[in-house]
Amino acid sequence: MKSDSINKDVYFNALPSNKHERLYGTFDFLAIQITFGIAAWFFLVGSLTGLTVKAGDAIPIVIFGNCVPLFLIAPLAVIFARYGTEQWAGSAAVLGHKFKDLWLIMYITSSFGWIAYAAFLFGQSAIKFVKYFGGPEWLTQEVPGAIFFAFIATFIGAYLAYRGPDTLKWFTRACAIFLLLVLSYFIYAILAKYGITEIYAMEPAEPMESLAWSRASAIEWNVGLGLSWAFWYGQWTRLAKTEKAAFHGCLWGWGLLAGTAGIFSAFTALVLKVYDPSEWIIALGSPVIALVGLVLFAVANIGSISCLVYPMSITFRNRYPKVSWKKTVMICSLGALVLENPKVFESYGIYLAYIALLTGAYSGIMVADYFLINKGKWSWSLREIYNRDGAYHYWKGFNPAALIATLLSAGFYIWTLEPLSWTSPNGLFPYITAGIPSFLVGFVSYAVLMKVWVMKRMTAPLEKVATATGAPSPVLNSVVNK
Amino acid sequence: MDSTEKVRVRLDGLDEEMNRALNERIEYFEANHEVNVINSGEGWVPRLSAGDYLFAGVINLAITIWLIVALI
Repeated sequence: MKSDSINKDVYFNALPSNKHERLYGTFDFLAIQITFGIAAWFFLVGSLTGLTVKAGDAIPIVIFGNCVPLFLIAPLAVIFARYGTEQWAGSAAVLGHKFKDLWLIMYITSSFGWIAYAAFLFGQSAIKFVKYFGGPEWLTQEVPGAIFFAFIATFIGAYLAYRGPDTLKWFTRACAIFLLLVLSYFIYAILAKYGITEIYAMEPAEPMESLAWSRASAIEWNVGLGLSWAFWYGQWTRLAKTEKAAFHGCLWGWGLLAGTAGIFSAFTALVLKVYDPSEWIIALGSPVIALVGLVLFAVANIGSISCLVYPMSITFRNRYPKVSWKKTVMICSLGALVLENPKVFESYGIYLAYIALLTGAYSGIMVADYFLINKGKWSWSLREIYNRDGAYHYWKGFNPAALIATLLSAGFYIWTLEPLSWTSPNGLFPYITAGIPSFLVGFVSYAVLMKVWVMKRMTAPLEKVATATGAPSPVLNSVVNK
Repeated sequence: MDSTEKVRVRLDGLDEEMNRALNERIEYFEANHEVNVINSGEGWVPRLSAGDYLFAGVINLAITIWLIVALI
């Protein structure tokens, strides 16, 4: 372990980043977010989409699902660029210090799923590789072979994260190139072999009970992936040179550009009618190409695991600095092992729905705060963000408006779409989807509760600063700006 | 509680040097950027303009209309 590099990163993330520490302009962000974004999750969401709807529906659904939610939550990119705080430190201003800690735990535990999907895809690739070379029977089957290899991938990915940024930097760059190579091959093979007209004419392999359910479900999965980025902004955008770079880099890098991977994955699933991307490599290539593709795909998935575990560990260590680095990495990775099995692998749509439930609530509240609360004397106080006994203690460490808005948003989601049974208790799905409406429920309920209740009962964090400097009220200020 | 009282921040688990650096960073922000932020100005870095939202909004509106037209 390169402890100097890790301590430097922990130290660097513990402090709000100042202007001179900012590393990324717009194009830097685009490059970083494309390479961070294109991974197992885009292949799998494309696959689900292609199995459920035709190509003519899949393209706008993938683009909409991965762009519009990112536009809705884009203020998250801006706010952490403005204050320079790490995401989960800054969120205390909105959620309260203890509720923020609870959200931090939800962020860590919900991210085990992303690790598990990348690891199981490694496992799927590995068993096919072993089978080709006539390896032991038990290593060529999903159970226990793929699980065994998934565990190995998790341990390797976690070990690379444990080694720190010096090791990770080059490995993850190489992995991004590997995935782009695999994606490029899919694009070439599919278009050369079938052509766009034939792809457009193909029927999906696993449509739902009605066209409306197929379309709404496909939208929901893609929206789930789009909203999922809500948990990953501040780790990056606190290093933006301008708010503009943070805003556009994440919006187009994670959205329109990385989303392209989802479109071509949807095409491939539509043509081959198979969910597992490692099967596509076998089906589309000669034996040599398939073997090379499987190796690249497997290694790239280890890179995706490291790319997740490292920022999760840095975030966790910032909040709990007394925990050793080794324990931190274990806490942020080993929970994924329980999810590495075929049942979870085949339930990616359900996982995306739960992610949409969580991130829709969180981002709705954060964006409402950005647009409607965080102005004038109610702007964030950097000092109070780091002062656990100060203004952002709210009620026993919980902002009651954020707590209630979270429950309302999550409740509305489950009322509209119950992910496990994939049914709609209120009957609104498939006429509306669940992720974006739940975001709006969180947005509206938080804003109303803050305005009519919390803001009337507490002193603004920057009350004295605003009074001393004669800063106009937020209402007057917005009029002046116009 | 308000920031003009200048409560010294101390995070458990951080050593003295890190806590001192954190307080210095906060004081710098308060002295140079906080009033700007209150007045809808810059934080550490140049602020996003309304035109950026407008540009992204128009494109995302077009994407939404495209989806609606495609699914009708």
